[in-house]
Amino acid sequence: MTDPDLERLSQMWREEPDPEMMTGLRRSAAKVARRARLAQIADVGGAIAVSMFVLVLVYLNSDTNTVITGAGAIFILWYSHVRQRRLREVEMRSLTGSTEEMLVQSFERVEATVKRARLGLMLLPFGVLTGFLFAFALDRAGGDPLRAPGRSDLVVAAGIIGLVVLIAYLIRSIKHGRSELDRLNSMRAAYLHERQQIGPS
Amino acid sequence: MAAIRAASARVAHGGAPPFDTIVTDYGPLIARIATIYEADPALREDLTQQILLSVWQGLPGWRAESSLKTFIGRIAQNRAVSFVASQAREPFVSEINEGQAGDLPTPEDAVAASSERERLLAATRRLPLPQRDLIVLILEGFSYAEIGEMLKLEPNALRLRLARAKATLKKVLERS
Repeated sequence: MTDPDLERLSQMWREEPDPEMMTGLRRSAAKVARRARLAQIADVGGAIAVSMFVLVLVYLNSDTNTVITGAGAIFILWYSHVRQRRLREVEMRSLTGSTEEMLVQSFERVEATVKRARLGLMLLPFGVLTGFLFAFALDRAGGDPLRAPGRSDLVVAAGIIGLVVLIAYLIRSIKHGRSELDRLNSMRAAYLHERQQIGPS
Repeated sequence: MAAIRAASARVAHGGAPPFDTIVTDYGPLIARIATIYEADPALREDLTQQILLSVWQGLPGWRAESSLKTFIGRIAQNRAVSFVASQAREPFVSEINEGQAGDLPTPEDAVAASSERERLLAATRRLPLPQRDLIVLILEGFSYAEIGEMLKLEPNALRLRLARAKATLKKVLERS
Protein backbone atom coordinates (compact mmCIF):
# COMPACT_ATOMS: atom_id res chain seq x y z
CA MET A 1 0.00 0.00 0.00
CA THR A 2 1.64 3.20 -1.17
CA ASP A 3 1.48 6.62 0.43
CA PRO A 4 -0.80 7.93 -2.37
CA ASP A 5 -3.17 5.00 -1.61
CA LEU A 6 -3.27 6.02 2.03
CA GLU A 7 -3.73 9.65 1.05
CA ARG A 8 -6.71 8.70 -1.12
CA LEU A 9 -8.20 6.60 1.70
CA SER A 10 -7.59 9.47 4.10
CA GLN A 11 -9.44 11.93 1.85
CA MET A 12 -12.33 9.52 1.52
CA TRP A 13 -12.31 8.85 5.27
CA ARG A 14 -12.51 12.56 6.11
CA GLU A 15 -15.24 13.44 3.63
CA GLU A 16 -17.78 16.09 4.55
CA PRO A 17 -19.65 15.00 7.69
CA ASP A 18 -23.33 14.22 7.62
CA PRO A 19 -25.19 17.43 8.76
CA GLU A 20 -27.62 15.33 10.79
CA MET A 21 -24.69 13.71 12.59
CA MET A 22 -23.22 17.15 13.34
CA THR A 23 -26.55 18.38 14.74
CA GLY A 24 -26.73 15.35 17.03
CA LEU A 25 -23.11 15.84 18.07
CA ARG A 26 -23.65 19.52 18.93
CA ARG A 27 -26.69 18.56 20.98
CA SER A 28 -24.69 15.89 22.86
CA ALA A 29 -21.83 18.32 23.42
CA ALA A 30 -24.16 20.99 24.83
CA LYS A 31 -25.69 18.41 27.19
CA VAL A 32 -22.26 17.19 28.30
CA ALA A 33 -20.96 20.72 28.93
CA ARG A 34 -24.11 21.68 30.87
CA ARG A 35 -23.91 18.57 33.09
CA ALA A 36 -20.18 19.03 33.63
CA ARG A 37 -20.66 22.66 34.72
CA LEU A 38 -23.47 21.68 37.10
CA ALA A 39 -21.37 18.83 38.50
CA GLN A 40 -18.48 21.23 39.14
CA ILE A 41 -20.76 23.70 40.92
CA ALA A 42 -22.43 20.93 42.94
CA ASP A 43 -19.05 19.45 43.86
CA VAL A 44 -17.57 22.61 45.31
CA GLY A 45 -20.89 24.09 46.43
CA GLY A 46 -21.83 20.88 48.22
CA ALA A 47 -18.52 20.74 50.07
CA ILE A 48 -18.90 24.39 51.14
CA ALA A 49 -22.53 23.87 52.20
CA VAL A 50 -21.72 20.78 54.27
CA SER A 51 -18.74 22.55 55.87
CA MET A 52 -20.95 25.53 56.81
CA PHE A 53 -23.57 23.18 58.22
CA VAL A 54 -20.99 21.38 60.37
CA LEU A 55 -19.60 24.73 61.56
CA VAL A 56 -23.09 25.87 62.57
CA LEU A 57 -23.67 22.59 64.46
CA VAL A 58 -20.32 22.99 66.22
CA TYR A 59 -21.16 26.59 67.08
CA LEU A 60 -24.56 25.63 68.50
CA ASN A 61 -23.20 22.63 70.47
CA SER A 62 -19.70 23.76 71.28
CA ASP A 63 -17.85 21.39 73.51
CA THR A 64 -14.48 19.73 73.02
CA ASN A 65 -15.89 16.50 71.52
CA THR A 66 -18.12 18.35 69.05
CA VAL A 67 -15.31 20.66 67.95
CA ILE A 68 -12.93 17.72 67.40
CA THR A 69 -15.59 15.69 65.54
CA GLY A 70 -16.61 18.70 63.45
CA ALA A 71 -13.01 19.57 62.59
CA GLY A 72 -12.38 15.92 61.68
CA ALA A 73 -15.47 15.79 59.46
CA ILE A 74 -14.49 19.01 57.61
CA PHE A 75 -10.92 17.78 57.19
CA ILE A 76 -12.07 14.43 55.75
CA LEU A 77 -14.54 16.20 53.43
CA TRP A 78 -11.96 18.58 51.94
CA TYR A 79 -9.18 15.98 51.88
CA SER A 80 -11.49 13.72 49.88
CA HIS A 81 -12.42 16.65 47.61
CA VAL A 82 -8.77 17.58 46.93
CA ARG A 83 -7.83 13.93 46.44
CA GLN A 84 -10.65 13.44 43.89
CA ARG A 85 -9.44 16.53 42.01
CA ARG A 86 -5.84 15.22 41.96
CA LEU A 87 -7.03 11.82 40.69
CA ARG A 88 -8.92 13.56 37.89
CA GLU A 89 -5.76 15.53 36.98
CA VAL A 90 -3.75 12.29 36.89
CA GLU A 91 -6.38 10.67 34.71
CA MET A 92 -6.38 13.68 32.37
CA ARG A 93 -2.57 13.55 32.07
CA SER A 94 -2.78 9.86 31.17
CA LEU A 95 -5.38 10.64 28.49
CA THR A 96 -3.02 13.10 26.80
CA GLY A 97 -0.03 10.74 26.93
CA SER A 98 0.67 7.68 24.80
CA THR A 99 -1.82 4.81 24.76
CA GLU A 100 0.68 2.45 26.35
CA GLU A 101 1.21 4.82 29.28
CA MET A 102 -2.55 5.20 29.60
CA LEU A 103 -3.00 1.41 29.65
CA VAL A 104 -0.39 1.03 32.41
CA GLN A 105 -2.12 3.68 34.54
CA SER A 106 -5.56 2.21 33.86
CA PHE A 107 -4.27 -1.21 34.88
CA GLU A 108 -2.89 0.17 38.16
CA ARG A 109 -6.12 2.05 38.84
CA VAL A 110 -8.38 -0.95 38.22
CA GLU A 111 -6.06 -3.25 40.17
CA ALA A 112 -6.25 -0.85 43.14
CA THR A 113 -10.06 -0.78 42.86
CA VAL A 114 -10.26 -4.59 42.86
CA LYS A 115 -7.89 -4.80 45.86
CA ARG A 116 -9.98 -2.25 47.78
CA ALA A 117 -13.19 -4.14 46.99
CA ARG A 118 -11.60 -7.46 48.12
CA LEU A 119 -10.36 -5.84 51.31
CA GLY A 120 -13.81 -4.37 51.93
CA LEU A 121 -15.39 -7.80 51.50
CA MET A 122 -12.89 -9.40 53.90
CA LEU A 123 -13.28 -6.70 56.55
CA LEU A 124 -17.08 -6.51 56.34
CA PRO A 125 -17.75 -9.37 58.81
CA PHE A 126 -15.36 -7.75 61.33
CA GLY A 127 -17.09 -4.42 60.82
CA VAL A 128 -20.50 -5.96 61.44
CA LEU A 129 -19.23 -7.82 64.49
CA THR A 130 -17.66 -4.63 65.86
CA GLY A 131 -20.97 -2.85 65.34
CA PHE A 132 -22.87 -5.50 67.26
CA LEU A 133 -20.32 -5.50 70.11
CA PHE A 134 -20.50 -1.70 70.27
CA ALA A 135 -24.31 -1.82 70.43
CA PHE A 136 -24.08 -4.53 73.10
CA ALA A 137 -21.63 -2.48 75.16
CA LEU A 138 -23.92 0.58 74.94
CA ASP A 139 -26.94 -1.39 76.03
CA ARG A 140 -25.39 -3.71 78.62
CA ALA A 141 -27.26 -1.97 81.45
CA GLY A 142 -30.42 -3.85 80.49
CA GLY A 143 -32.85 -4.88 77.79
CA ASP A 144 -32.15 -6.83 74.67
CA PRO A 145 -28.35 -6.80 74.14
CA LEU A 146 -28.74 -6.66 70.37
CA ARG A 147 -31.14 -3.80 70.43
CA ALA A 148 -30.11 -0.31 71.49
CA PRO A 149 -32.86 1.77 73.16
CA GLY A 150 -35.39 3.11 70.61
CA ARG A 151 -34.16 0.99 67.69
CA SER A 152 -36.94 -0.60 65.69
CA ASP A 153 -37.13 -3.77 63.65
CA LEU A 154 -37.38 -1.57 60.56
CA VAL A 155 -33.95 -0.05 61.18
CA VAL A 156 -32.41 -3.49 61.76
CA ALA A 157 -34.05 -4.80 58.56
CA ALA A 158 -32.80 -1.77 56.61
CA GLY A 159 -29.33 -2.40 57.99
CA ILE A 160 -29.40 -6.04 56.86
CA ILE A 161 -30.69 -5.10 53.38
CA GLY A 162 -28.00 -2.42 53.14
CA LEU A 163 -25.37 -5.00 54.06
CA VAL A 164 -26.60 -7.46 51.43
CA VAL A 165 -26.63 -4.73 48.77
CA LEU A 166 -23.09 -3.69 49.76
CA ILE A 167 -21.82 -7.28 49.54
CA ALA A 168 -23.46 -7.74 46.12
CA TYR A 169 -21.94 -4.45 44.93
CA LEU A 170 -18.45 -5.44 46.12
CA ILE A 171 -18.67 -8.86 44.46
CA ARG A 172 -19.86 -7.28 41.20
CA SER A 173 -17.03 -4.71 41.40
CA ILE A 174 -14.47 -7.47 41.80
CA LYS A 175 -15.84 -9.52 38.88
CA HIS A 176 -16.08 -6.50 36.58
CA GLY A 177 -12.63 -5.32 37.66
CA ARG A 178 -11.09 -8.71 36.93
CA SER A 179 -12.50 -8.84 33.37
CA GLU A 180 -11.32 -5.29 32.76
CA LEU A 181 -7.84 -6.26 34.00
CA ASP A 182 -7.83 -9.23 31.58
CA ARG A 183 -8.73 -6.94 28.68
CA LEU A 184 -6.14 -4.33 29.70
CA ASN A 185 -3.54 -7.09 29.95
CA SER A 186 -4.27 -8.37 26.45
CA MET A 187 -4.13 -4.79 25.10
CA ARG A 188 -0.76 -4.23 26.79
CA ALA A 189 0.44 -7.57 25.37
CA ALA A 190 -0.54 -6.37 21.87
CA TYR A 191 1.65 -3.27 22.28
CA LEU A 192 4.51 -5.29 23.70
CA HIS A 193 4.27 -7.70 20.78
CA GLU A 194 4.31 -4.77 18.33
CA ARG A 195 7.40 -3.27 20.01
CA GLN A 196 9.15 -6.62 19.87
CA GLN A 197 8.42 -6.86 16.15
CA ILE A 198 9.85 -3.44 15.34
CA GLY A 199 12.53 -3.23 18.03
CA PRO A 200 12.89 -0.52 20.72
CA SER A 201 11.50 2.99 19.91
CA MET B 1 -22.87 40.33 25.84
CA ALA B 2 -22.13 37.44 23.49
CA ALA B 3 -18.56 38.69 23.13
CA ILE B 4 -18.14 38.79 26.92
CA ARG B 5 -19.52 35.27 27.23
CA ALA B 6 -17.17 34.05 24.53
CA ALA B 7 -14.20 35.70 26.23
CA SER B 8 -15.16 34.18 29.60
CA ALA B 9 -15.47 30.77 28.00
CA ARG B 10 -12.03 31.23 26.49
CA VAL B 11 -10.55 32.14 29.88
CA ALA B 12 -12.35 29.19 31.47
CA HIS B 13 -10.79 26.89 28.89
CA GLY B 14 -7.20 28.08 29.28
CA GLY B 15 -6.91 30.08 26.05
CA ALA B 16 -8.49 27.40 23.83
CA PRO B 17 -11.43 28.38 21.66
CA PRO B 18 -14.90 28.04 23.20
CA PHE B 19 -16.16 24.49 23.54
CA ASP B 20 -18.87 24.86 20.91
CA THR B 21 -16.27 26.06 18.40
CA ILE B 22 -14.17 23.01 19.21
CA VAL B 23 -17.15 20.75 18.68
CA THR B 24 -17.76 22.34 15.25
CA ASP B 25 -14.08 22.12 14.24
CA TYR B 26 -13.15 18.76 15.75
CA GLY B 27 -16.50 17.05 16.32
CA PRO B 28 -16.19 15.01 13.09
CA LEU B 29 -12.72 13.82 14.21
CA ILE B 30 -14.17 12.72 17.55
CA ALA B 31 -17.14 11.02 15.89
CA ARG B 32 -14.93 9.14 13.42
CA ILE B 33 -12.58 7.92 16.17
CA ALA B 34 -15.56 6.76 18.25
CA THR B 35 -16.88 4.91 15.18
CA ILE B 36 -13.57 3.08 14.67
CA TYR B 37 -13.34 1.83 18.25
CA GLU B 38 -16.98 1.12 19.01
CA ALA B 39 -19.35 -0.50 16.54
CA ASP B 40 -22.44 -0.71 18.74
CA PRO B 41 -24.41 2.53 18.06
CA ALA B 42 -25.74 2.92 21.63
CA LEU B 43 -22.31 2.37 23.19
CA ARG B 44 -20.75 4.61 20.56
CA GLU B 45 -23.03 7.42 21.73
CA ASP B 46 -21.81 6.80 25.33
CA LEU B 47 -18.22 6.80 24.14
CA THR B 48 -18.70 10.03 22.17
CA GLN B 49 -20.13 11.72 25.26
CA GLN B 50 -17.24 10.47 27.38
CA ILE B 51 -14.75 11.83 24.85
CA LEU B 52 -16.56 15.19 24.75
CA LEU B 53 -16.55 15.30 28.57
CA SER B 54 -12.82 14.50 28.70
CA VAL B 55 -12.11 17.21 26.13
CA TRP B 56 -14.19 19.71 28.13
CA GLN B 57 -12.34 18.77 31.33
CA GLY B 58 -8.94 18.74 29.65
CA LEU B 59 -9.17 22.08 27.82
CA PRO B 60 -8.07 24.25 30.79
CA GLY B 61 -4.86 22.20 30.84
CA TRP B 62 -4.03 22.75 27.16
CA ARG B 63 -0.93 24.92 26.96
CA ALA B 64 -0.38 25.03 23.17
CA GLU B 65 2.73 22.82 23.46
CA SER B 66 0.96 20.67 20.89
CA SER B 67 -1.72 21.66 18.41
CA LEU B 68 -5.32 21.54 19.57
CA LYS B 69 -6.03 18.83 16.99
CA THR B 70 -3.21 16.70 18.43
CA PHE B 71 -4.46 17.30 21.96
CA ILE B 72 -8.04 16.37 21.14
CA GLY B 73 -7.00 13.44 18.95
CA ARG B 74 -4.97 11.97 21.83
CA ILE B 75 -7.81 12.34 24.30
CA ALA B 76 -10.31 10.83 21.86
CA GLN B 77 -8.13 7.85 21.02
CA ASN B 78 -7.10 7.08 24.61
CA ARG B 79 -10.63 7.48 25.90
CA ALA B 80 -11.85 5.12 23.17
CA VAL B 81 -9.26 2.48 24.09
CA SER B 82 -10.06 2.69 27.82
CA PHE B 83 -13.79 2.55 26.99
CA VAL B 84 -13.33 -0.65 25.02
CA ALA B 85 -11.30 -2.13 27.91
CA SER B 86 -14.05 -1.34 30.42
CA GLN B 87 -16.85 -2.95 28.40
CA ALA B 88 -17.82 -6.36 29.81
CA ARG B 89 -18.37 -8.11 26.48
CA GLU B 90 -16.52 -9.41 23.44
CA PRO B 91 -15.63 -6.74 20.86
CA PHE B 92 -18.70 -6.18 18.71
CA VAL B 93 -18.22 -5.60 15.00
CA SER B 94 -21.29 -4.79 12.96
CA GLU B 95 -22.13 -3.42 9.54
CA ILE B 96 -22.44 0.33 9.69
CA ASN B 97 -25.29 1.92 7.83
CA GLU B 98 -24.05 5.51 7.63
CA GLY B 99 -25.85 7.78 5.23
CA GLN B 100 -23.84 9.84 2.80
CA ALA B 101 -24.49 13.57 2.72
CA GLY B 102 -23.25 16.25 0.36
CA ASP B 103 -23.13 16.41 -3.45
CA LEU B 104 -21.88 13.29 -5.19
CA PRO B 105 -21.59 12.88 -8.97
CA THR B 106 -23.97 9.90 -9.35
CA PRO B 107 -25.99 7.67 -7.06
CA GLU B 108 -23.78 4.73 -8.14
CA ASP B 109 -20.66 6.69 -7.14
CA ALA B 110 -22.27 7.43 -3.79
CA VAL B 111 -22.97 3.74 -3.19
CA ALA B 112 -19.45 2.79 -4.26
CA ALA B 113 -17.87 5.42 -1.96
CA SER B 114 -20.13 4.36 0.90
CA SER B 115 -19.16 0.73 0.35
CA GLU B 116 -15.49 1.53 0.14
CA ARG B 117 -15.69 3.65 3.27
CA GLU B 118 -17.51 0.88 5.10
CA ARG B 119 -14.90 -1.62 3.95
CA LEU B 120 -12.16 0.70 5.20
CA LEU B 121 -13.97 1.10 8.53
CA ALA B 122 -14.42 -2.66 8.93
CA ALA B 123 -10.81 -3.32 7.93
CA THR B 124 -9.45 -0.72 10.37
CA ARG B 125 -11.45 -2.26 13.19
CA ARG B 126 -9.80 -5.61 12.50
CA LEU B 127 -6.27 -4.26 12.88
CA PRO B 128 -4.31 -5.06 16.06
CA LEU B 129 -4.65 -2.17 18.48
CA PRO B 130 -1.17 -0.61 18.04
CA GLN B 131 -1.54 -0.66 14.24
CA ARG B 132 -5.10 0.62 14.45
CA ASP B 133 -3.95 3.61 16.53
CA LEU B 134 -1.45 4.50 13.84
CA ILE B 135 -3.73 4.01 10.84
CA VAL B 136 -6.48 6.07 12.49
CA LEU B 137 -4.07 8.97 12.93
CA ILE B 138 -2.90 8.65 9.31
CA LEU B 139 -6.51 8.62 8.06
CA GLU B 140 -7.23 11.70 10.18
CA GLY B 141 -4.49 13.59 8.38
CA PHE B 142 -1.94 13.96 11.19
CA SER B 143 1.63 14.49 10.03
CA TYR B 144 4.31 11.88 10.75
CA ALA B 145 5.92 14.30 13.21
CA GLU B 146 2.63 14.73 15.08
CA ILE B 147 2.03 10.97 15.08
CA GLY B 148 5.52 10.31 16.42
CA GLU B 149 4.88 12.81 19.21
CA MET B 150 1.44 11.37 20.02
CA LEU B 151 2.53 7.73 20.04
CA LYS B 152 5.94 8.50 21.60
CA LEU B 153 7.74 6.74 18.75
CA GLU B 154 11.11 7.61 17.27
CA PRO B 155 11.03 8.19 13.48
CA ASN B 156 12.62 4.79 12.75
CA ALA B 157 10.17 2.88 14.95
CA LEU B 158 7.28 4.86 13.47
CA ARG B 159 8.38 4.00 9.94
CA LEU B 160 8.60 0.29 10.81
CA ARG B 161 5.23 0.23 12.57
CA LEU B 162 3.65 2.11 9.67
CA ALA B 163 5.03 -0.41 7.16
CA ARG B 164 3.56 -3.26 9.19
CA ALA B 165 0.22 -1.47 9.62
CA LYS B 166 -0.07 -0.67 5.90
CA ALA B 167 0.72 -4.30 5.00
CA THR B 168 -1.91 -5.60 7.45
CA LEU B 169 -4.52 -3.07 6.26
CA LYS B 170 -3.86 -3.98 2.61
CA LYS B 171 -4.24 -7.69 3.42
CA VAL B 172 -7.52 -7.14 5.28
CA LEU B 173 -8.92 -4.87 2.54
CA GLU B 174 -8.04 -7.39 -0.16
CA ARG B 175 -9.74 -10.19 1.80
CA SER B 176 -12.89 -8.11 2.18
